[in-house]
Amino acid sequence: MAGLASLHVLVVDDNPHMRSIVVAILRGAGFAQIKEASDGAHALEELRTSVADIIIVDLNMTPIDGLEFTKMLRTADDSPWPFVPVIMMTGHTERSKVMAARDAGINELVAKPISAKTLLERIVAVIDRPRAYVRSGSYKGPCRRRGAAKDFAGPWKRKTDDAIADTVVEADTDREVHI
Amino acid sequence: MTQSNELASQADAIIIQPNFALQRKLGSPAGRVLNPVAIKRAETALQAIIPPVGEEVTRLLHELGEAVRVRAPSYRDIIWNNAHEIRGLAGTAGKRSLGLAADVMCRYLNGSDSDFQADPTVLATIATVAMQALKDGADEDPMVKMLLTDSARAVLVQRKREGRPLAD
Repeated sequence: MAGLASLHVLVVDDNPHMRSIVVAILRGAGFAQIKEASDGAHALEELRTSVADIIIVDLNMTPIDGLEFTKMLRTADDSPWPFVPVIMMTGHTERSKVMAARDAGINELVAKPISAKTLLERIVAVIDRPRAYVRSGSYKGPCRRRGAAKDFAGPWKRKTDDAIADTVVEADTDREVHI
Repeated sequence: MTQSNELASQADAIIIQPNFALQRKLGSPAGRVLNPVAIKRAETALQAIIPPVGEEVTRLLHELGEAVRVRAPSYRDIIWNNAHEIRGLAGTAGKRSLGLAADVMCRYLNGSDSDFQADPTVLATIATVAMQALKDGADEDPMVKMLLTDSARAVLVQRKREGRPLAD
């Protein structure tokens, strides 16, 4: 089986209405294998027994929020899916929150209110423009050098940075946030 | 070892090059499948669930208004949580201005503790603006736009008055 119906998506949000919005968008676009979880703990439990190709997670949840969930997913020794693309939804577009999400190891960020176009564009990004994965002492997750790679002059500059910088997508007027 | 891995290992980091496993599983680039037609289908599907979302937004707003009016214990958390949920849902339900009003409320309460004694006038002002923004046609109403601007300004002034940073 190929096509969108072959991809497994896990939607994690403590608000059932927000989950229904995301699921409606996904089903409308053609995704068929969608699972839902009501918080980070529930999602981690779900991931132990099921497949996930893409995870769409809310930032603000209890008891385990989207940031902690992503960190656990990326770093836990027994994590079943440390490399799975994570798209984070948030109403918090403050710079500090965006940076925290980036440092937790997310792949893409989508600001609420979400639209079908914006969410599907983020899914296209994680599938068609996958990013290198970094494992270092202080960070595990997608390469974070996206926007400033071409100008980066520090000692950690990699030869691949110029190529990575070419994939940067400019923010548009639809209140999108790119990390 | 690839060149980039070699460079990375010198700095004790491992770089795993991007792979296109999802694209292979999909059988084509995602951009080809999630095209404007698919986006249109998704938007149509979204329209079908807007009525219940709109009802939920209205319920959350009335609960928020009640918390502002009564100021019972833990009112700060009720107001912030409801405003946060409204901020996420209202735009999708076709109430963009309401989402902005909820965002202003969140910005006033961001960084405060559960026992924070919020300024009742500021809370009431934002709640009133939010109720105005709930009305049909509010997104095109210049008066609502002006009220939103004024309330956002009032939040900045109040946070400064309270000795809190302008944003958290």
